[in-house]
Parts: sequence; C-alpha cells; structure tokens
Amino acid sequence: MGRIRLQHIFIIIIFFFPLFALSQAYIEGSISDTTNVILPGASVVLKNTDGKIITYATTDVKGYYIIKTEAGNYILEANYLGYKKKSCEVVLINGKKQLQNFKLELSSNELKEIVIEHEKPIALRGDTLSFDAKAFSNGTEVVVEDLLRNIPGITVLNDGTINYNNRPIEKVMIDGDDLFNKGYSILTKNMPNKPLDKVQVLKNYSNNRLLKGIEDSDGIALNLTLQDEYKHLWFGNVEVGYGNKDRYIAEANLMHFAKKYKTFLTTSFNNAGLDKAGKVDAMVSNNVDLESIGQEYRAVKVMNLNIGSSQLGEDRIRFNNAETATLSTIFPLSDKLRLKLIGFLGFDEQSFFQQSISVTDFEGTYFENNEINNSSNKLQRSYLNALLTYDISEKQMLKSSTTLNAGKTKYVNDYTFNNRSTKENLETRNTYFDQKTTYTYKWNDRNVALFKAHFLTDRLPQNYGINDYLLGDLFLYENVNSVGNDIKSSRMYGGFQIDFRSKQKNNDLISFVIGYDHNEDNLMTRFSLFTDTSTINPQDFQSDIFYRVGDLYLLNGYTLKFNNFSINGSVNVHQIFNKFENYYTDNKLSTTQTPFIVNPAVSASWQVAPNDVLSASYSHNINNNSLLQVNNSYLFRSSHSFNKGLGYFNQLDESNAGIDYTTKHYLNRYQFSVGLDYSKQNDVISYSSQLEQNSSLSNAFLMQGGNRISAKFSSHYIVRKLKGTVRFGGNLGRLLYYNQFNESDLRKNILYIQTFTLGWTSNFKSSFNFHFSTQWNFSQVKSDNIFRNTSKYSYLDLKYVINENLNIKLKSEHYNFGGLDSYSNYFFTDLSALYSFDNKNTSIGLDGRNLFNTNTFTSYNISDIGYSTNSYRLLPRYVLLTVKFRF
Amino acid sequence: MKLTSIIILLISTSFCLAQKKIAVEVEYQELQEIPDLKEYTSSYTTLYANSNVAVNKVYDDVEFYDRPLDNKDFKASDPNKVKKFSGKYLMINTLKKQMLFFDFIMKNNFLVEDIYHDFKWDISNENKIIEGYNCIMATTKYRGRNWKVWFTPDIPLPFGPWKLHGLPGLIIEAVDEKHQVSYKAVKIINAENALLSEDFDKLVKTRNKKPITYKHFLEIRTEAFENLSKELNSENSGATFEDVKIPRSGPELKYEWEE
Repeated sequence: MGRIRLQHIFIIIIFFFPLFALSQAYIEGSISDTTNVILPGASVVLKNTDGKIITYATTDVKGYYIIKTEAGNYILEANYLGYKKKSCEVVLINGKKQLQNFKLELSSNELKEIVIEHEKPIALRGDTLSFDAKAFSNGTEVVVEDLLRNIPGITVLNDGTINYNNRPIEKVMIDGDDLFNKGYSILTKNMPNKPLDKVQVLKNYSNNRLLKGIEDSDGIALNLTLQDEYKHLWFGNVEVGYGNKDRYIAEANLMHFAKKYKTFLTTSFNNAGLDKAGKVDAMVSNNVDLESIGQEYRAVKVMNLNIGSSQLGEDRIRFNNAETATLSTIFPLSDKLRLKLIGFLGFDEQSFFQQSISVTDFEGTYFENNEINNSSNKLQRSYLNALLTYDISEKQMLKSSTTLNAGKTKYVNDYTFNNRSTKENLETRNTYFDQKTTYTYKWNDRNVALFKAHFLTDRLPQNYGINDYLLGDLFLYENVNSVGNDIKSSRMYGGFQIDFRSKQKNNDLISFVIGYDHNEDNLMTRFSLFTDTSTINPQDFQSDIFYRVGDLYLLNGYTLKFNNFSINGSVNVHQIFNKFENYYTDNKLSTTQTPFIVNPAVSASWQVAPNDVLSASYSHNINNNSLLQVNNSYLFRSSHSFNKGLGYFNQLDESNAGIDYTTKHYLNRYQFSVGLDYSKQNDVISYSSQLEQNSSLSNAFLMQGGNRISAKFSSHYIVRKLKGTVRFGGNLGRLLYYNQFNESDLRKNILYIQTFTLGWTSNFKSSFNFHFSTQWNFSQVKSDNIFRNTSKYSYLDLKYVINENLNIKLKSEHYNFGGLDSYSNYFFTDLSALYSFDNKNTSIGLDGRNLFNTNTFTSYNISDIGYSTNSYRLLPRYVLLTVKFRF
Repeated sequence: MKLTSIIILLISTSFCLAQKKIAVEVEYQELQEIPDLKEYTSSYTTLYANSNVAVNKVYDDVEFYDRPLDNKDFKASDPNKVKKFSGKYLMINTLKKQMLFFDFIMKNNFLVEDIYHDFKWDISNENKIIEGYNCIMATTKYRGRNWKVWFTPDIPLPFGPWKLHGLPGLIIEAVDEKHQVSYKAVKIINAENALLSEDFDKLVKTRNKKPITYKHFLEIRTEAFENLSKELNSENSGATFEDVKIPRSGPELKYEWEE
C-alpha cells in the first residue's frame, strides 16, 4: 500500500495541481460484515493524525457512506455495535473520490455494563411548591393579591377568588393559621405584600393532615410565610358611603399579625339592604376544620313568620339597619397546642311590606283571601367559638370545638286580613351550646381511625300573640278577643362515632363507621284563647311532648377500581330506639318502637372513552320520623294554620335511581351532559287539610307515595369566531303526589316543570366584556283544575375597564311573570363605578341601585289547589358615594 | 485437515454461542432546574437503541427536591419501585430520517411527528473518562438551547438522551449552557428489545390515525387549556378572561417555525 501511495501523490501533484485549490476531497464506500451482509447505520469517523475527529458519517440503508472534506492525511475508522472497530490510514486528494470499503468482524468483547449507585439520600420536596416572594415582585405591587398574580399557575379574579391551575383554592393561611376560610379575599385585598417571605402552594391539601395519602384529596391551599423582621403587622381598610334618603354603609376591617398571635376584627353598619352577616357566616363556621357528627340537629322551630321572596333578591325588599362585629384570633398555647377564638355580635332591624291575594279553588271549595303584612323584625345575635388543635404526635391529633350561641328575634306585624286590622307579635329566643371533639390516629401510611364525640343543647322558646280572633268557626267560644301561643322547645343531642378508613395496596378504599346517636326533644306548647274574663286552652291543641331517638348504626363502604371502571357500594344499618310521649292530660299518649333499618346504595362510573363518562347510582332509604310527623296534637304554626302528626311511628320508604352521561370535546371546545333521575316513595306522610276561609287544619296520614322523574341537560360551547362561550341547559320534571282536602277523595296531582337557561359570556381580551343569561320557567299543575305559570328572568352584566384606575359595571335585570291573563314585567338596573388613586390606598366608588325606581314587585305562584300573587314594596332608588381607604 | 475442520467447528460454535446482542438499553436520568420557581426535579427515561432505531420511554414519576441538584445526585432508579408509564414513547429512525412520539392532551393520546433535525455537532479535542468509557466532548445548538455533550465512540450508536442524536457514539452526558437541563446515563446494559422491531404507530391507541405535526400538536394543546379557562370564566359571572402566560421551561425553548 505504501508504494502505491507514493506514486499516487506524484501523479496527483503533477496532473491535478490547477484543481487543487478549487475542489474538495471525497471518500466513500460500503460497510458489511464478513458474510457480506451490509451494515446500515454503521459509524464512519475521519480523524486527523493527532486523533481528533474532523468529520463523520453513517452508512445509509444500502450500507453506503460518503464523506466530503479537505485534502490531507487522515485515519478512517469504521465501527458497528457488536463488531470490532477497523481503521486505516487514508490520504485524501482534491477532486478525487476515493473508495474505502470495510468488512467488519464480530467482536467477542462484551459491552461494558454500568449501573451507578448512590449512597446519600436526598430530601424530597413532596406536595409543597415554595415561591420566593421577592423573586416575583416587580416593585409595583401593593397588596398580597397583586403579588399572587405574578406567580406561575395562580390566577386572581376580580372578586378576589384565587385559582391555581384553573382550580379554586380552599383557603389562604398565614404561617399555617387560617382565620378566614373561604372569605380570604379580605386578607389578600388588604394585606401589604412587603412582609411576605414565601408563598407556598399546598397540593392534595386536606384539612386533617392525617388523612393525606388515604383520602385522595385534590384540594389546594396557599400558605403565606412572613419575614422575621415584621414583628408587628397592622393593616386593614375602612369604607364609608353615604347617599340619598339617609342611606349609609360603613365597614372597617383591621388585622394584626404578631409572632405569637393573629387577630382579625371586622365591623359593618348599613341601612342599604345589604346582609353582611351572611358573609361572616362563611368565615365563622368551623365545620370544615373539624370532622364531626350530628351537624343538623337543632331544636324544632314551631312558628316562623319571616317574610322572604324566593324570586327576587332579598336585598331589594329588605329595609334594614344593621350592625355587626366579628373578632377572631389565633394564638399558640404551646408547641403543639393552638387556639382559635371567634366572637360575633350582630343587630338588625328589618322591615318588609308585603301584600298577597290568594285564591283557593278546588272541587266544592272556593274562597279568596287578601292579606297585608307591614312587619318589623328586631334581631340580636351573638356567637362565641373556641377551636383547640393539639398535634399530639406524627400519628395522633386532637381537635376540640366549643360553641355558645344566643339570639333573640322580636317580630311585630301590622297584619290586615280581609280588611280587618290586627297586630301580631312573635318573640323567639335561642340559646345553643355545642361541644365537638375529634381524635385522629393514623397507625401507618394506609390506615387511619377517627374517634368523634359531639354534645349539644339547643333551647328555642317562642311567644306569639295576636290582638284579635281571626279563626272563624274553628272554635265556638264567644267573646274571644285575642289569641296566644307559648312554646318551649329544646333539644339535647349526644353522639359518639368511630370512623375507620383503610387504603388497600391496589388503591381501593374501605371505610367502616360505627356509632351511636342519642336525641331528646322536649316540646311544650300552650295555645290560648283569651276573653275579657278567662283563658281557654282548647283540647287537642296543647302539647307536652317528650321525643327520644336512639340510633346505633354501622356504615360500611367499599370502593373498587379497575381499568376505566369504578364502583362504590355501601350499606348503612341502623338499630333505632324510638319513644314518643305526650303528657298533656287530655292528649296523653305513649308509644315506642325499635325498627331495624338497612339502607343500601351503589354508584358506578365508567370512562367509556377518554372524554366520555357514564355514571349511575341507586339507593334505597328508609327514613325515621321527625317529632312533627309523630306528634298527636295540633300545633299552631302561623296566624291561621295548625298541623298534627300521625300519632304513631311509621318509617318512610323511598328508592332513588339516576344515570348521567357527560361528553367533552377533546380540546374542551364543548361539553354536553345529560342526566335522568327517578325516585319513588313507597310510603309518604301526607296531610289531610280542612281548609276554610279563616283557618287551615292539617292532619297527617300515611298514604301511598308518588314518584318523581326528571331529566336535565347542560352544555357549553366556546364560539371562537365570536370570542365567547355559550351555555345552554334545561330541566324537565314530572312529579306525582297525592293529598286530600276537606271532603274530597284522595286527590292525584301531577306537577310538570320545564326550565331552560341560555347564557353568553364574552371572552374579549379588551377592556369591555359582558355576560348575559336568561332563564325561562314553565310549570303546570294538573289536579281538579289545571293551573299554569310562566316566569322569565334575564340579566345582563356589562363591564368596562376604562384604565388601570377606573372601571364601570352595569347590571340590568328583567323579570316577567304570568299565569292568568296578564303578564307583568319588571326592570331593574344597578350601576357601580370605582376609581382607585395611583397610590392604590384610596378609592372612590359610586353605587346606584334600582335606577328605574321600581317600587312594587308582584310575583305569581300556583299550587294544586289554587294560585296567589305576592307584592312587595321595594327599596327605592338610591345612590351612594363611597370612599375606601386602606392602611 | 483435521485441525482446520476442528477450528472451523469451534469458530462456528462460538459464533452461535456468542449470541451477539446488537442493541443496548440505557437508563438516563434528567435533572431540571427552574431557579425562579426554586423547582428542582428529577425523572427517568429508558432508551432502547440499535444502530438505526432508538425508542425512548419517558416515565411519569417526577421527583421534586428543595435544593439544586448536581453531578453527585445522578443514580440509577430503584429497581424495586414500579415506575408509572403513561405511553410517552419517542422514536428516532436515522435511516428513514423520522422522529415520532406519543403525547397526550388531558386524557387523549396523539401520535406526533416532529421535524427530523440533522444535528450539526462541533466535536472538540477534549477527552474524559466517564464511568469507564472514553468520552469526547461535542456541542450544538437546538431549539433555543446550547448543548454540551460527552459521547463515547466505544458504543458506536448515534443516539443519546431525549432527542439528541447524530454523533458517532452514544451520548453519556448532556447539559445545556444555562445548566437548567442535564442528562446522564446511569445504567447501560446489553439487551435486545422487541420495541425496536415493532410498528411504532401501533404501540399506543391514539385519537388520530395519521401522525399530526408537532407544531399543530402544540397549538391544539394551548387551545385546550385556554378553553378550560374560558369555561371556568363563564361559570362565574364576576370574572373576566385572563390570558395566563407561563414561561417555557424544559429542553425546548424555541421552535424552528418561530425563527
């Protein structure tokens, strides 16, 4: 080879000298193994004499390679996995294509295998994402909400709602303490961001840290940590507004965070119809902090005369003068012990003006009543709660919540009934004491048990009086000039439960609950008719009731998952000890019963395709009776009506089944879901009522139940061309039920309901956006007569953000009711404008409500025995100028 | 004569016994760092490769750490722990010049065809021995990042971690200039795998019958998340639609069609 090379170089230099500077050198060839099988994908490397790689190529499908480079001396290497590398020296000459083939031999060397081991364990971060507040600050932020907008994944909406990855968060904590629950916007809109150290996003958040890993929670919470140098942090805001007709609002929030304790004080005063106590309820209810039992067990409220409107927002009909104050504070008692105290005090004077005309029209009976209610309600409410959290150890936790609640309502009504003026009053007092304790023990990653205890007492005395006798022929006494009702209602509840949850190796969940509930009710009522000289207590209308329900229960559930299918089955077993006694001399009754109840339920879900889910459920429930259903004497419930129960226990039986199907576009462009529900009541307690012009007497009796079938559908569609989202949904229902009035036979009633909703939300990226929605309700009741009702409600929200400082919102509503021959239309418009100054600490707002000054609102209702119209006097137009100052 | 026949017999026997596996299985560990978010993650992929085809399996388990990770943190994954795999296969075929992968949006799987990039590598003089292999350093620029890799001609396969390929040897280590993404081979074994000979497009059941382009896939994925935002927004009448801009992270910062 060497000899040939020398001769070649000679010839090349002589003959190809002129072309030397212009062209490049090529080398090509094919690579195969020793049996002539070609090797595609073999690597060919061209190195210079120092061993540096100059260029390289791989063989193509035919085992052929070509390399183009500058002329020179090189080493050419061919290699293929599993074969011995072969190399040779080559001299590349300009303009000349050289051929170099390779035949590779199998290699007997094994590939050097490696596995890197590592000794030092590293701490995993887990479910917490921690962001450094300073790193996300660009200097223009003033409050915490401004900083949160900068953090990837977090979006903050106008009303203060915070979402993480498009899912709403549960709470915002400060150094692990939560003072606000869902009302966290008071914190994020007012707290300055400067003291923030870190913003932590806690994924898979669970209120009970020991349930993590066992109960799959996809909840998200935020925790803000404060820098050490801010030992005392005071901040808050004040809002004051004043308008025509002496309307005012005043609100102040003050927060104080120190190293050891955190306090939050909020007070509110207004006579503009706003209900601030409702917002406070969201903050003070500690139910989310503590897993407990027996939530709904309050004393029986016999009389309830409050006027409310189901169709129109209550703040349009409520004339009020409210004051509320809430104080909450959290402080540590020791390393492991934390105490949260909440106190609430509220006063309100509400007035309502309402007139109703009702027509009762069914087989053989017809009468009309005209009622005018001019009422005032004085409310006082106080609430005190102490929540103690004791982190005993890694595996144990104890939580205790103690509540004291006291209230008083004084209701006075100028009541005109068919042109007869009277005055009625109802005073209700309430004292409530509640103690909940829950102990959680988690003995390994998969098993946890909760031991819950709960005790409460609730007293609800009521006193009613009316200065006339309006009950017509119901009582045949002479010279009755007033009527009174004195009620003493109280309840005591005690319960204990063990709740055991176990997550299996294959992620199935078994839950097992065993417990005992004990309820005792005492109800004493004295219904009196007063004449000038005497007091009459009619027989059958008094009670001295003792009602006890003991419930020993076992709840067992199992969730099974395989492939795209999951099924959950549960069985609830109750051994009940019922006792009812009425000691009143003329009505003495004592009855006991010990039913054994089994309630099964099953639900399943099947992911038919990635975006299609089918789910179905079935349950059978036997429900125990309430005091009012068993009671054997008449209770005076309102100015004209009396109710009596069965006089014995009879559990009510019903079955429910439902099926749902949801399909989504794979890119979320639309979603459509459809559902069908069927429920059948085997036994039902119905009321047989004696309806007269002046009185209504209802007797409970047991009869066959009806059934209910309903279908619902909902959909949303994103219209890209018009930059908006359309929502369309509806509800169709048919309800069959039986009742009986006066001398009629058993009446069969069928109620049909059709509801349709259409909405449009714009998705403009500009400063203007709107939201439109309209809902149409149709109902028909078929019994002796057919009554029809139509109501339509539409609203349009316009939002215009003029610039960073100024934005305007306009809300218009339209109501339409009809059923008789005429239809009535109502329009309402509210306007609000907000201007914030550059320093972001002060803002001025203008709020106008009911700009069209609509002063009456009449709605129309139907039932299976007639129809009624209800008219309300509305808050007249007012304009408030408000100033908000943040410090 | 007899000696020759015995030698031939021995050679042919050893030829059969030396059942040459001409494929490798390499486990790569990927470390990612987003200093602004203080996010430090580690995940694993397994590369099955022969001289022409490589199939990469990307595992779902991502571990989050609370401190920056470095070279000392590379280690093979725990063989006793079952890794979650949702079907993210990546295939590179150097002969057909094709790159295909499976990815998903919400719960739907897609077969995506990426632009086959002919990597232009700058091979340097630097040599280093990594885990017993002779490695040479090379650099290139790809999709917004400057990569520095160490490859070994001792294993003459043109593949490496993620989408990096085209060198005359297996890439053992790869790191981007900003040190935000780094890869290392933490396990290399000789192993043939059926994935290399199977029809790639039949591995996962997908929505689309034909592969869609990577550009189109990214567009529809963005649309799906925007639509989710719009849907939530329309449920809450008090909100206005906000465009959430999340800065890009990971190995790809810029695409060819964005130049």
